[in-house]
Amino acid sequence: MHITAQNLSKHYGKKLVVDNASFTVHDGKVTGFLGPNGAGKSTTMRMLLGLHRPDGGNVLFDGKPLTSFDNPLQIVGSLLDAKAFNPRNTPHQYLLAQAATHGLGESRVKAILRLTGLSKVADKEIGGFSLGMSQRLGMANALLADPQVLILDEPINGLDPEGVRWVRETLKTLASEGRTILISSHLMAEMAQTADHIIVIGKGRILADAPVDEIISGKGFIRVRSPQMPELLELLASRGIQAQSREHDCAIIAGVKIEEVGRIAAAHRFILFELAPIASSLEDAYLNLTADAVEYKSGATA
Amino acid sequence: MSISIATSPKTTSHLGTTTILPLVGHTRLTWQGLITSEWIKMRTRVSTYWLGGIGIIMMIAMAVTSAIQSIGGNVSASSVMTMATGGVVGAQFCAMLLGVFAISDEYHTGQIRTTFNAVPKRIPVLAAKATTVAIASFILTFASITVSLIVAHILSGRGLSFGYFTLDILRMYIGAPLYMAFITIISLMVGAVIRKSTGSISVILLILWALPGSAVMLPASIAGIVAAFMPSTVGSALYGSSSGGSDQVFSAITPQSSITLAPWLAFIILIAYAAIFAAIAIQVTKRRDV
Repeated sequence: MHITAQNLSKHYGKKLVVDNASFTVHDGKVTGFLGPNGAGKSTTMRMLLGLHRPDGGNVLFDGKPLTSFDNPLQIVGSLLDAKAFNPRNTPHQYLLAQAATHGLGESRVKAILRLTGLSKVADKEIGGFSLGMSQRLGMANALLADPQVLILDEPINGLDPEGVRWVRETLKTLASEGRTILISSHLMAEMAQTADHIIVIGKGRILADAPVDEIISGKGFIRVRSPQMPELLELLASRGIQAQSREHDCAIIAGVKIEEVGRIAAAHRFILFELAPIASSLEDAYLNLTADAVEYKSGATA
Repeated sequence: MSISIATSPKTTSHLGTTTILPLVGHTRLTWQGLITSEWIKMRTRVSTYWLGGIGIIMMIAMAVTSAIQSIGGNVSASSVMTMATGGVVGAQFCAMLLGVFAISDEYHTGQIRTTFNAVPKRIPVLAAKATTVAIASFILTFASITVSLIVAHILSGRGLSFGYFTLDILRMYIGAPLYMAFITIISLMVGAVIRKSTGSISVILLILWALPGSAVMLPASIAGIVAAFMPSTVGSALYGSSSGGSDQVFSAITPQSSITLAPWLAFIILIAYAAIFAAIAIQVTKRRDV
């Protein structure tokens, strides 16, 4: 099942929070949803779930609005706010009430509590939970009815390393089963490991929507190593390709496709020891993409 | 598909987590499921027990005190019923809070989002909440009246003779729980609009009690008519004693009305009020960002 957002817009008062955002979240993949604070991530996720009403545009699940399904909780499960539970309830009570809407009962709740490692605290008041335990309950709630789509806002905040790994592996497994997963996070290293596809939002606009590899190599820097470096650089320069930096037999070039460099080198019988795209980190790529779209900058220089 | 579940999970840990989500077949969101869900929520709210307990105690205590005062006098069957339903005047505040908390709690914690995630059409949630809290309110009131009736009977020295159930007495017997259910429903609807419990309670108190009181500022001829159609006055026409005087609290603050509504008319007017409150709540709930 895929989610299509078409021309989503949302104002809060006079402030435009989401500006004509269109994108598709595909099944069988973990899609990371990235953006600076205040970029419109949470608002967009809430609009996908129909919780916030868009001022314009629409959201469709396999071409149909969420309200048209007779089993909404099996279409999409969500985790938006880990603390959004009655603190006097227990996980067991809460999940039982939520499961009951779709005719699910005790056995399903027990299975989900086991899955998320909450069995031991099933009858403890949620109010006493750490953020990590609350996140587990949020995951339990999201997975409760075996949904085809998961929308998770910062699900790994506050989790212990075991929990982080559990979320990562669970999401990968769920995606491999053909489910659709949209997850937001500020932890770039984690997203680089978990996500297959990245959507970047900044100031309410979609800045990038591409596979992780493409996002990371998006800067187009290429690393070339050759014993004939001065001659090679001369040749490339004659074709308008500039070296960004050079050290001994190694140079970084940009503004050209890597295949093109290979062909030029071969045509002139150059020896290459190395020809590789520079994998910057997802963090670098993200910071480049959102540099102009950061709403709340630290150490403001403006 | 089922084979993949049977294979051993990829990781297990000290918390016993696995990465394999057990599947469930196709299920459906049903009205029955929604009622069950709201029933569980009501049962697991601590305030439900507080409010129920205080309401029951108020009803029975009121019956006991008035019955003790009447000892020795010539007590009619109708006045015993008046004693048994007299506690409604106080217990309706519990009914109000039962309705408000059913929705304000969810807005307060943010749980409303997971609720609306399960029910994207939203309005069925409102309907299911109204149904469960109204039924609870009705049953608790009915049970309290029954107990009060027995106690008042014994204390006032009439003994346990139940052969006197006239239509008028039955009206009070059913009317009081109906009025309490009404209070619970409109409180829920106000709660759905205001979201915060304090604000909701203020608005309800204003509508139910302050407004009828301020009717004294109107010219006397109009004041009587306006007061007669205020929800609290209409309610006392539904459950109050037909000989009057059951509702000293209100008659003290409300302009005297020459209009006495027939019970069936009072019932219809309450339903109309509930429908107005519900219509506003539905419109607001549909449009709101949660």
